[in-house]
Amino acid sequence: MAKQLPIEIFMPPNILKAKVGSAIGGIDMAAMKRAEAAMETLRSEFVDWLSDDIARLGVRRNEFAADPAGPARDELFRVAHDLKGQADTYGYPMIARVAGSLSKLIDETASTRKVPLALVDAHVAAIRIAFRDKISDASDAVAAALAKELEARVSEELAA
Amino acid sequence: MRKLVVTILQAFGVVQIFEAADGNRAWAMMRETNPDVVLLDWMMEGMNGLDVVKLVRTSPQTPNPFVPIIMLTGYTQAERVRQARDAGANEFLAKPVSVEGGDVAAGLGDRAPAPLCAHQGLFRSLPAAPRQGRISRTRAALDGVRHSEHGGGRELAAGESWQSSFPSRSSCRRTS
Repeated sequence: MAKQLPIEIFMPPNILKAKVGSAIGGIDMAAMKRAEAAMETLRSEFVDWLSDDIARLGVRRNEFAADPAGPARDELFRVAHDLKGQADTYGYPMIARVAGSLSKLIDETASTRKVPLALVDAHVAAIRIAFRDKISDASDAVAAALAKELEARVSEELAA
Repeated sequence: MRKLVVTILQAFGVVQIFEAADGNRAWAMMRETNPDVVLLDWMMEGMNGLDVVKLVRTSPQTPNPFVPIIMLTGYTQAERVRQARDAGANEFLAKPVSVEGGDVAAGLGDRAPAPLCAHQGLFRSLPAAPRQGRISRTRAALDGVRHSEHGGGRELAAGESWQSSFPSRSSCRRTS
C-alpha cells in the first residue's frame, strides 16, 4: 500500500469579528438608526408579504389534504416554519406562535404516522382569522387562549 | 425576508450583496463571488443551509473554507444550534429578525467553529472541541492559497435553509 500523507487537525480561524465588527467596541447607533428607518420604509409591505405567505399556506394545506403521505407534507412544514420565523417580524406574533405550533406538529410527528388534517385545519383557520382581524397583540386574551389550546392538542397528539 | 435582511445590511453600509433563492444557487454563487460573510437560512429548497455550510467548510471546490457564516433561522432548539456549530457556522441567529438584535436566542458559546481535518487534500469538519487546537502547516498553506483577510464588504444572503452524520475523529484516522 502506498504511504499516505499525514492527517492534521487544526482549528480554523474565526474572522467574523474582523469582518463585521464587534459590539465590544460599542454599537454604531447611527447605523442602528439608519437600519430602523430602513425597516420602517418596508413596514407597509409587511402586510402584503404576510398575506402572500398565508395564501401559500392555504395552497400547501390543500395539496397536503389531497396527498398526506407525499411531499406535500414537507412543503406544508416549510411554509409553516417560514411563517413562524417571519410573522413576528411583520408585527403578528400570534400568527408566529400558531405557525410554530403547526410546524412542531408536522416536524415531530413520526414520518410513519399521519398528521391529523383536522388539527392542521384548526391551525390554518386560526392563522387566517388572526390575520383577518389584524390581531397583532400577543396578549390578546381570545387569541392567546386559542393558541394555548392548539398547543395543548399538538402536545396530546405527539404524546399519543 | 431576504429583502428585509438586504435592507438592514445596506443600512449598515454593506455595499455589495449577492442574493440566492435556495441552497444550490447559494453554493454556485459563493464559488463565483467568494463573499466576505455569508448569511444563511437553514430551511431552503433543495440543499438546505446546513448542507451549504458543510460544503463551504469541506468541499475541495470551496472558494474559502474559513469564510464567516451566520445562520439565520426559525429553528431555536439547542440541538439545531449544536448541529450548526459542528458543521462550522460561526454564529446562530434566531428569527424573528430585528435591527436591535434583541431577539437573538442562541449564540455559539465562544464562537469556536468546528475544527477541520485535513487529509490528502480533502477537508472534513469535526465536532467542535475546545479552542486549544494546533495551527498546522496545512492551515498556513490554506491561508496562502485560499484565504483573504481583506474584506471588500461583500456578503451573500441566501434565504428560504437536515440532518447528517458528522465525521468523527476516527473517520480521519490514517488507514495505513
